[in-house]
Amino acid sequence: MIAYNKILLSNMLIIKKAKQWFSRDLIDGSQMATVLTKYPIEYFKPNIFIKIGLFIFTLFLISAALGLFSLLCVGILMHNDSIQGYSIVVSVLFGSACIFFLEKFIKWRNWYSNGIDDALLYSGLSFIFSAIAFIISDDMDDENGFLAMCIVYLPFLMFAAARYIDRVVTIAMMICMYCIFFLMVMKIGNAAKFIMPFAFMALSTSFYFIVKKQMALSSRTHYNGCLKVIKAIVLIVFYISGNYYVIRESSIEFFRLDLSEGQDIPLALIFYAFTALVPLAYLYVGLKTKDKLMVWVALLLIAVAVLTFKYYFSLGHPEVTLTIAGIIMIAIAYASIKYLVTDKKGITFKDDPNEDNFLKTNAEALVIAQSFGTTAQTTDAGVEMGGGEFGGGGSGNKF
Amino acid sequence: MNVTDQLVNDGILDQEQAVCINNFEREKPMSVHWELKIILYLGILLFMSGLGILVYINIDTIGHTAIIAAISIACALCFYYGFKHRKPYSNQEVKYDSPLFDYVILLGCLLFGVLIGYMQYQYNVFGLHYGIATLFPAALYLSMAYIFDHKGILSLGITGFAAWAGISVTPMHLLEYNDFSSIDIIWTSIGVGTILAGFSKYADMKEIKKHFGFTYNNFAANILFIALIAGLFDEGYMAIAYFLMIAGLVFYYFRYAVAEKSFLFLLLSVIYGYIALTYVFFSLLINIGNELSFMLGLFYIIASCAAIVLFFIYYKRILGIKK
Repeated sequence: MIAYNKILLSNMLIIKKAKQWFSRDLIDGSQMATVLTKYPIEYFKPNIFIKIGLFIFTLFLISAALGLFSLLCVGILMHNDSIQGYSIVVSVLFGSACIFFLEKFIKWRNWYSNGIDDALLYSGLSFIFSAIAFIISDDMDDENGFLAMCIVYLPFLMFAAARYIDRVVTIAMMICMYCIFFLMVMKIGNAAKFIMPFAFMALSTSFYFIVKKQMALSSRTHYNGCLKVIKAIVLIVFYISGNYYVIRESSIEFFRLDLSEGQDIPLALIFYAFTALVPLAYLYVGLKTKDKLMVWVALLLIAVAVLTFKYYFSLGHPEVTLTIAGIIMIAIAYASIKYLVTDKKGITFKDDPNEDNFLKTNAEALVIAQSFGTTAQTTDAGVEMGGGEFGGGGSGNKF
Repeated sequence: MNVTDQLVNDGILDQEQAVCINNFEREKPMSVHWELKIILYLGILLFMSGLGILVYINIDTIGHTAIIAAISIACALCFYYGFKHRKPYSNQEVKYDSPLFDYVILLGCLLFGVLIGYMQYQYNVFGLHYGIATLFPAALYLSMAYIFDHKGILSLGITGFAAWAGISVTPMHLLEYNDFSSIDIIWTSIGVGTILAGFSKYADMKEIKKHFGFTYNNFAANILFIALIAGLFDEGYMAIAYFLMIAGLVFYYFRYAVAEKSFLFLLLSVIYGYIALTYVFFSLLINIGNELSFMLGLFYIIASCAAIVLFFIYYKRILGIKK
């Protein structure tokens, strides 16, 4: 099923693990050397920036090829008024070409995730999808057309995600699945508005257990990245489908719920509790099971929960909230760092020794420059207290 | 198959070691290093923004002395902590064990910036010399960056220095806030960029804080390239000079990227260089104004993109980088 060379993939995994063990003195130097020679990873693995460059310029190349092709076809277009037919043909042609080259390069050159293959995959899929959109869009109304489109896209996305173990395609696949599910439930009619949140929760829960089961299988090692992405999405969707803000606003938007002043949605209290407690539960489970992904999702959702409550129960003083929130966060981080000076229950503050810190520390400096940096001063009297006043543009001017 | 099982099968690990490794994999602690650092950083960001607005809104009610006193005390506390725990200066990288240290210094420097700005606004301590009001904190930041070996404060100092010269170099505002159609801004930017790159080069040769090189050059490269390309777009009689300068800069950063193995600079030079080259090529094409020129343009894009893709594929061989 997987297009890439499987030996290469498992060798990469072995070497990654071996490096971690070597950095912690679990295996010695001669063993590490044997691992490196015994499991060669002879393939083109460029630096991350080179990868970005390859991705960008491959996309340029494909668009320029499309432009040139269209230019050559202007003559045909002149005599034939079916723009739609032409678009379908071109999309199919370019889509197949992209996928063809992708397959060939993987076979010939043993490529894996070097920017070019990603660019080819994404543009190939986009071409195929636009061909499908051109075919479908004409003879159906908006909603049904969209549903039909999603249903046709889904097998392509599933196949691509499985064959090219690509995380971005996996995200698209999940979004597509949830869209189909949403539109299907909408078809029920009036009862949909009561069912929707619980239906989404139920679907996400079942996905979660499927993913968990798949992750435990050793035959799915290569899909680990994709499964992690699915897990994160499923956790987020589970939360979002019970979030107070989402329920309230979507009830008004999709189900024309009329809320007069002082009125609240049904079961409001339960949804408030859900909004506040689920992220904390995620955080607890994440820390308990040493699941970093879950911790990240939990942190993100805690921010969402805070914003939700802030939206409905605002004190009207954003600056006070900001200052207090800042102090609370500093205090929490400070206390946790002090607490974790020694490892507690399998959690540590020590950085993983084998992680590449160069990018992180340098990125940190840029983020600091971005958020606190001084923007240019002009000598006009009017802006004499511009940028630098409160330590930067982030605060001084915008609020 | 499990990695340890496979290594045992292939005779690289013995059974004992495999058990040991499996135990480690099961027991290994989860590191929340970066998570806590990000929370701490976001906390400081929110706190500083909130404090800034709070002071701004209540400037008439709290009383200036109280505000200045509170900020000064907080700032002094931060620097007191900093100097107490400070390690002696060295030209090499100095690492602090406490992760909080960096953030305390950052907070102290930011508070100092607020203080200076406030005093200038309220009491005009620097009079009409607005330049000094910007240069003073920038100079402090730069020296603090060296004293405490802090890249974040170094980048604050650089933005402050550039702001004093009259340009915004914060990463997102480089294009947004600067009016590159003005020739003054272009030359100021070229000046600032050259000073930064030149100083970094000098410091590298003298082996002074070599790990600051990335921060200096990242600012310098972006300012210089954008200013030069803006000059090129200006289409004056100087266009050819700007083009040559861009070519020189591309060459400089190619060498820098190879020497420092910092391929961000390779990517930056290729992208900016490509923009300049394409611009020149297309303006020549438009001058010719032939009906074939559009097609020629498309051929140029295809050929040049293919060439760049090939260059990136074989960059190690072309630039002579050993593995």
